[in-house]
Amino acid sequence: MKNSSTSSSDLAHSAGDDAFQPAGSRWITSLVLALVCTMVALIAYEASLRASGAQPNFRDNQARWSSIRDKADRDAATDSIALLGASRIRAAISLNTLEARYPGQSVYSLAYAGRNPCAVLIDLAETTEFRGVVLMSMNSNWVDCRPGPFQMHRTVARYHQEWNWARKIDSWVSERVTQNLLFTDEHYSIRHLIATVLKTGHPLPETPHTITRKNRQIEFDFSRFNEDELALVRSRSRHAFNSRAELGGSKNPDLWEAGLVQLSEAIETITARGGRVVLLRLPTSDPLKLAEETHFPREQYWDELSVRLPATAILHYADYPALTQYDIPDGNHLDYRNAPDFTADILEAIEEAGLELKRR
Amino acid sequence: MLFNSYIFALFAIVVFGLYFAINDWAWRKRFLLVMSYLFYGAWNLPYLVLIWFSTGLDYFAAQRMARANRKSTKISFLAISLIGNLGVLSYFKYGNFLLDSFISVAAVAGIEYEPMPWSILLPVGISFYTFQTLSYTLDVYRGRLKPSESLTDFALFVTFFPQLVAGPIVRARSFLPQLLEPLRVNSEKIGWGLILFVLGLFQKVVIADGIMAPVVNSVFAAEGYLPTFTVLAGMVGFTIQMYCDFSGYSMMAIGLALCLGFKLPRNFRAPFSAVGYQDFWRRWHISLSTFFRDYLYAPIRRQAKSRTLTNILIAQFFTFFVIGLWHGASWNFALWGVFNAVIIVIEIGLQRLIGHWKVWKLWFWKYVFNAVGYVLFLFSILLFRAADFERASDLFMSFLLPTDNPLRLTPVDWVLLIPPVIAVFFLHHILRDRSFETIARATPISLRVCALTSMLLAIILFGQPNEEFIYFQF
Repeated sequence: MKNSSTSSSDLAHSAGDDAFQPAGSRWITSLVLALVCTMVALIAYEASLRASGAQPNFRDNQARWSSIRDKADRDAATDSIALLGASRIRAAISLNTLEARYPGQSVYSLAYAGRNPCAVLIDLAETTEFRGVVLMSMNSNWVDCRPGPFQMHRTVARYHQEWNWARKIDSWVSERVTQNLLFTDEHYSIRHLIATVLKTGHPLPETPHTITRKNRQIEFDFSRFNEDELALVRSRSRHAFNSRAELGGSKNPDLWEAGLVQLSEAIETITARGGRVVLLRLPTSDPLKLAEETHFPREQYWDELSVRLPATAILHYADYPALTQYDIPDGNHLDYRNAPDFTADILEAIEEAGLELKRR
Repeated sequence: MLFNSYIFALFAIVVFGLYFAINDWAWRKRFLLVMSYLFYGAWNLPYLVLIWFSTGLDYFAAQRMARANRKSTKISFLAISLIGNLGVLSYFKYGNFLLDSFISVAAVAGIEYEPMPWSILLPVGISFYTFQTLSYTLDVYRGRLKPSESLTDFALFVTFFPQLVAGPIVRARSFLPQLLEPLRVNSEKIGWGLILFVLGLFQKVVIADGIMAPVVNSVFAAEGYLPTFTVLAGMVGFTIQMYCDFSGYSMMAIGLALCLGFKLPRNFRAPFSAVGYQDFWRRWHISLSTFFRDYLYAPIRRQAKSRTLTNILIAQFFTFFVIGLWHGASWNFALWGVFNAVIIVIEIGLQRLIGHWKVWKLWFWKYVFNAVGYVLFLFSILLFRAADFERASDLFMSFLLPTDNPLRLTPVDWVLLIPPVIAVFFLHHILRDRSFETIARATPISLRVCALTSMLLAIILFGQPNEEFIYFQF
């Protein structure tokens, strides 16, 4: 032990005061040459990606969500249409179709994949003057609105605490970089390249099967999934639903009641100032559908929601034959080719229920 | 404003462009001060008030201490500084922790206490700049430093943007003298500063966030027991992630400062080559460990006046308990600190008992002690990284109990994980007794270009911008 440098019992020696010294010359030359080489390599990579038909894919994160959430403040007084929910509504509702149908109205998606949107609804009610239309994808297990990993409370809180001028500028630049440089997409990152080489032996990954658009709409191209992949996704969805159903509080009568009170207060606040809230139960397919019906039988849960919540309209897809016609290959999401027609059908269903989304 | 963000790139262009356009040194310093406030304000503008409070309080207290003739007056102003700074730190960082601890103690005593929820946002870097300003007043009190005559200089010392939010913790006596005369900036400093920045960015973006974080996150977020190798990979991955995250930030800070002509202290010295646990703490987060050595450990020892094992033990335990709590307001961190103290005390005891044996002179023991020290650090980080005791215990038990948990790392994870782990250990052993600059100076330009190109490409193609630094939360 004596030959080690541990002989002193003091906590630390005086190394703290020494500083990095310049290590010789010509580092700027080295750096400039390296930057040139890097640029050449990136240009070649970008060109090969473009040649392979790759498209910009917007990574969904806190900043993207916050930048859209800003719209809810900016357009609060107008008759805007806000989409709330998780990935299901982002795949099912075509924002372009909505915009074409209601020109001049601001349409945006505040849905977040894998999360219960109730905290966003409460936020719209409590912290904005929102008086537009909320199209909210709703499930019976989403009545429990306590903070947790699959909830939006943290995202909403971070928006209020952190979304400032600096993050807005950063997000603005980031968006433009992502839009114009394909190699910034995670799908073409080194991690993914190595995965592709190990899996397929090919040096370049295929273009992704799922694309997130700038407006946060998700496009699933199920023609590019093979049956094994789909089976795996279906099984994972069911597994995730079962675990969340067990862990979540919606099956607990007290928590269900508390959740209903929170939701109805938020809906009442929005409707009281002239807004409208439409709750939508979007289609799913087996085995997820079976799991949902097992844990939350419609008569016991959804139908009570319809009675208890003061929403302007509450629609269950099963009540509209047009909405049951669509194929849900992974149990949860529509193929991007079906989204425009599905959107048109659901708008018809909403109108059938006596609600007009147009500016009043 | 994160160093690995687009907004920082814009900020740096403006700062460097204008800094060199200004000829007058006093205006240069004022400009840096304003930009440093802008840098901090980019996180949370209202919290600038806390920095102003700390700056004003310590500037004023130090001036009055220097002018005071009586010791009691000096002590009063030191107490004002300590209470003011530590009070703010305690409120923002430890308020919730203290409240939770109080509720638990009350519950044990049979009292049910339900306070209002505590939702105070932790000001970024508060632990760093508080300690920095405290070191100033403590040094002035001890007569080791004359108080700064310029409020601008002192404010810049507290707020200097490269190291404001995550260190290195700079001492006033090494920084303030740099502000007295105009700093000369030449191409050597700028070139080397930029290289350090790229190296730091590579450590952060590629190794910490791109390679280690996905593995570490999946292991520590999983539930129940896990396969042994999966847990081991997560633990080793976290030691490398934490090192590259923090050492990367320090290196970027040092590089940026050097580009502006300032010299900041080294914060890491190849810690994974440490021989024993005390040596490890001399090489890991040096600016923090030397702070606690000088302002906590040494005064406790001086009070005791004798070098008995009991005194050392008390000083070590208390110092590491506080170091633990500095890292985070929870009992996990406090226990982590105590764990470190226990190991060091055992090491000191063994040194006294059998340290004189000639057998230790064999080279072989150096590697044994290095390995033993690393393994102990590895287990200590379970307390540091796990969300709670239960999770830390589950991960520890994963080494002892079989599990059918299917969580396994993918081949990609292993392919990405193993080379940097080996590279970090190899480099640390090379750098154990020599400086990084010596090696860099001897590197031919062709090799420099190849290495830098590879690093730049990896930084861009790992594509994980805007991941926060682990040490920001401290």
